[in-house]
Amino acid sequence: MHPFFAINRLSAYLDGDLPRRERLEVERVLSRHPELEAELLNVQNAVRLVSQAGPARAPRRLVPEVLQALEERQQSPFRGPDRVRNVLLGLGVTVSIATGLAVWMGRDNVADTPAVDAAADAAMDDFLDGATEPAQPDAVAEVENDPPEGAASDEDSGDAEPAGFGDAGLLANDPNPGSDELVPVELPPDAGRMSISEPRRLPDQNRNAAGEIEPFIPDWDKEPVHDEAGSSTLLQVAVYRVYANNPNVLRELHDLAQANGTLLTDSMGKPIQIRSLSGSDDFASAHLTLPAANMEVFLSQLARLGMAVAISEPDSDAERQSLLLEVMYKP
Amino acid sequence: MSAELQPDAQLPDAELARRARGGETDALEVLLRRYQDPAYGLCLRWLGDTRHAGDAVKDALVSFSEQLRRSTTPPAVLVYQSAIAECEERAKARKIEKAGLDEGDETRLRAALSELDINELSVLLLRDLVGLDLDQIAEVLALSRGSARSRLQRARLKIGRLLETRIDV
Repeated sequence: MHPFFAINRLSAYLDGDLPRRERLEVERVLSRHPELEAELLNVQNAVRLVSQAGPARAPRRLVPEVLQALEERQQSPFRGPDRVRNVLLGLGVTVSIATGLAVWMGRDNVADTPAVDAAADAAMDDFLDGATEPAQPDAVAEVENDPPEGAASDEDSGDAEPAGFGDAGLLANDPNPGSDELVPVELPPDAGRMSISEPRRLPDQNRNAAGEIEPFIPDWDKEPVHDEAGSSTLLQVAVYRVYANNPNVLRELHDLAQANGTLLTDSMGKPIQIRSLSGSDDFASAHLTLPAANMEVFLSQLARLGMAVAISEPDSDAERQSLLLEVMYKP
Repeated sequence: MSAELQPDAQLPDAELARRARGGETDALEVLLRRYQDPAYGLCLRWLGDTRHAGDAVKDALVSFSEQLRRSTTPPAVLVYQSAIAECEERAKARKIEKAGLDEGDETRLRAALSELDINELSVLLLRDLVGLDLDQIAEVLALSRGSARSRLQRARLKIGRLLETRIDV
């Protein structure tokens, strides 16, 4: 075993988490490389120190204070189980702000909500500037404004939807476990718009000189795959911080995974049939495994769907090469 | 803890969570008491002082309690996710001061921990302070087991090197 691989197994070695053959290999390398042994000692000391730091005693009044805070929150008119009331309240506040702004700006038509919408869209386009291919934002915006099933849309009716953007279905509690079918559930028309809570700027390292987002392509020479068995290299892609309240995101990822001959799974490798999401969730994680050779194609497919790869983290593993991607999506 | 809660204290998390979702405050209280110390320990190591850690863990447990009502995620996962989210937010809001390097192990450890990034810090504390195994960490952080193991490896190497010249063996 090369010392490079041994050093990447020191932590697992300390935890007794290595198969016998690998453990013996690490011990053999340790005996030949004193610098590696020193490294092991450092790690041991650090683990000991962190372990000795805990446990800590929480303040005595913590639990009563938490329970009291919960009680106070439940009594607040802004909290409570009635989501419809909250949505209406939110809409009321939005309309009030829009009206106030219009009056303040001296505009004649205070009910000019399309202009307000356009401003919001412009802000979102600004946020996503460079995150989607030039031809795609309009198509994505149409999906965002799709009415619920059965409702007509005068403006959008003449335009073709991009492939796979058909149903406005949120992947919710699975009524039929074990089925491959994704079951759409009805959403309020503004569910997608409500989902984004704190849009994050895409990191600069993924931008080219023109300020456009470029998908991260792993440098395989610098990130060698440990593949002793000689099996084909796989990428495990963890798509996280997906803005999952968007009715289309997980469906799109599911379709994309299937088109690539794989399945979308949860973090434990169990295929996702239907994703359970609560009203407060604004992201979920989803995983899929791809042949490494398909990675570039996969990223370009994501970009075509209006998803921008923002963060990547090459990660070595004994069995596969993992890559974490942050996928952002216009809600 | 109130006397009538004693029998419930033996119940598994899933049963307590089910009861809490059904509105049984006693069941929620047992869960809160079960996780308050490890959650506080996590916040304390992350934020470095008792005042901020106390505020963070309180908000984290409030958030945990609210999420528990509408989520089927295991309580252990939810509570650490809430604690990490609180710490992350607070650490961003106030730049954590780097501790000095000329005092005891406690201060040296704080200094080294403050050099780790969020990903490294969370996996290290969950493993070596809280004592979760890799599968549990993977679930809390929504990672694959392999990614959790790699992060832990990186975090341990890094903190080991940071402490290298500061700790007497």
